[in-house]
Amino acid sequence: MDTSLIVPGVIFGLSIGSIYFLMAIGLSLCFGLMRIISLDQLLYYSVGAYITYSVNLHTGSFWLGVLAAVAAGAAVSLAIERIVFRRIYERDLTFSMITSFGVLLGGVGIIKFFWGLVPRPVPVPISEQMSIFGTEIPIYRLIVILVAIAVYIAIWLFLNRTIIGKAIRAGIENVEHVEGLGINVARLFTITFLIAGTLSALAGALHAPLIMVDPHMGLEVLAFVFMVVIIGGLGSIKGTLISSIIVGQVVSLGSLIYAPLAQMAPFAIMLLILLVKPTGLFGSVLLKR
Amino acid sequence: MEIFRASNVTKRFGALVAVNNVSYSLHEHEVAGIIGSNGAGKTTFFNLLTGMFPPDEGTIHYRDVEITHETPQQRVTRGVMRTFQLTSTFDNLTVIDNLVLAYFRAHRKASLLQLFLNTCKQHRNNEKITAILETFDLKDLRDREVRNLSLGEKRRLEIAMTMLAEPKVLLLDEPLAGLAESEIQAVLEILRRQMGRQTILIVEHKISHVKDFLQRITVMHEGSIIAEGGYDECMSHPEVRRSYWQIDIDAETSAEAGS
Repeated sequence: MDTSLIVPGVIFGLSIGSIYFLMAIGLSLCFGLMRIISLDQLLYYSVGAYITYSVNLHTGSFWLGVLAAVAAGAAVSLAIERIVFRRIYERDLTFSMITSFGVLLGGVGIIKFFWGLVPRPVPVPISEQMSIFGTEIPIYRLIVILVAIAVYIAIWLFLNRTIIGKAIRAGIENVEHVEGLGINVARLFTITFLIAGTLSALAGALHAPLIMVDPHMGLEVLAFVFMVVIIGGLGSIKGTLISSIIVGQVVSLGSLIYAPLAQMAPFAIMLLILLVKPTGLFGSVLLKR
Repeated sequence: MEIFRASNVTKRFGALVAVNNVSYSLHEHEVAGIIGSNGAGKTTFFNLLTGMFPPDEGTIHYRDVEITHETPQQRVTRGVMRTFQLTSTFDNLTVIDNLVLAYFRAHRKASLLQLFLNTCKQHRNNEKITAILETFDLKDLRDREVRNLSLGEKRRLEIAMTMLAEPKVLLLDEPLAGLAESEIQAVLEILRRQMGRQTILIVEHKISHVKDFLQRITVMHEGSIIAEGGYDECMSHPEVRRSYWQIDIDAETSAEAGS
């Protein structure tokens, strides 16, 4: 392996891990609080990418596209929570998984209707590079990493400092008991779903310049995002961050050693971690049952 | 004055009739208890009163307003609070955070924006929370994570959380379960102080601990009420002796006749 590729490999891994992290937070919180597997988060990721593409195409401003993508992700996820999920929260886990997969497939169909099947390119907004240890690194990838760090800090402060954040943490432990305190659990669910959808759309928007935007982009990252959630431990934000770094690095550095490793190695790591710790790295006590 | 009334409520789980046509009422400032052996339907009946699930038949009224299909959250807003058989405190939060959560909901009709802007720190020195920490002897445990507390301390915290909401009706589901003798006395002392201020309904196995404390006892067996009244009256009831103490009344009577 060429050692000069290590620094860009690590940065690449961190940036791809950042995208996985932004998507996985939502999945993790949705499972932790509402006990649903929200595969439709992958739809909001695609919506985020497509809105960024369209706004960038018409206004020439990528960052305006990101803002529009976040707003669109929030609006679509809020509508789907109200129309679909509010009716199925009390159903079995598999029911929510199948329903959310249906929402995802339906959403992909709508994307195909509006944007077609042809993959769309989104230009990188910052083409400048920065020298780190003598290696030129694209500044845009560093910005993606910084956004993920900022989101982690914001989510941490939200969950640990605000009353509503504490109520969500309490709900992850036992939602019935939170309801017993008189807290409006339906509202907590909506807020959590909204946060998840918004962050998935942000992930799609930030990822758009690094890939080709196509209708099935959500399905392509599905396995990796799930791995991040499972390795980190369902419901754990800290675990999600650490596992996204692990998966990002394994994908990136693995491909430097032997290309097929990029696809295979994360699964091997996941199996290994689950063998040692079935709840994932930071799985909550409640989920150990 | 009647504050809570369940009329002919029935709850089935498949073929099992957990609560069978039960009618029950609670009066203002009364301290009442429901006892019965395991599987008698006490906790299911309790869950019907608190709205954890609706009855299949029958109605529930609170101050003459029908609340049969209201959610637990709506009932809390009316002033009905409960504790759970397994403590309902939140292990991953600190003692003070548990209290702030209970206080905030009970005393504020918060908008979404307020919920986002209010931090727990702002309420840490709230007068009522400080007073309740003192009353329940939790002051020294204030910043400790609940997972590190003993069961007795958790139970005290749980009751403190419900008291913070200043409920009109307090429903306690086996508040003494798993507690050591000294902890039982501490919890009973706290409850004694609430007598005359609140309506309290206790579901409890340890009847000997609460018998002096309860003004009225109701005995349930296989989903139905089999006796009601004072302690002595209930305990001498033949059905209760048979089902609760498993005393064979017929054998006892013939033994007495023989002697």
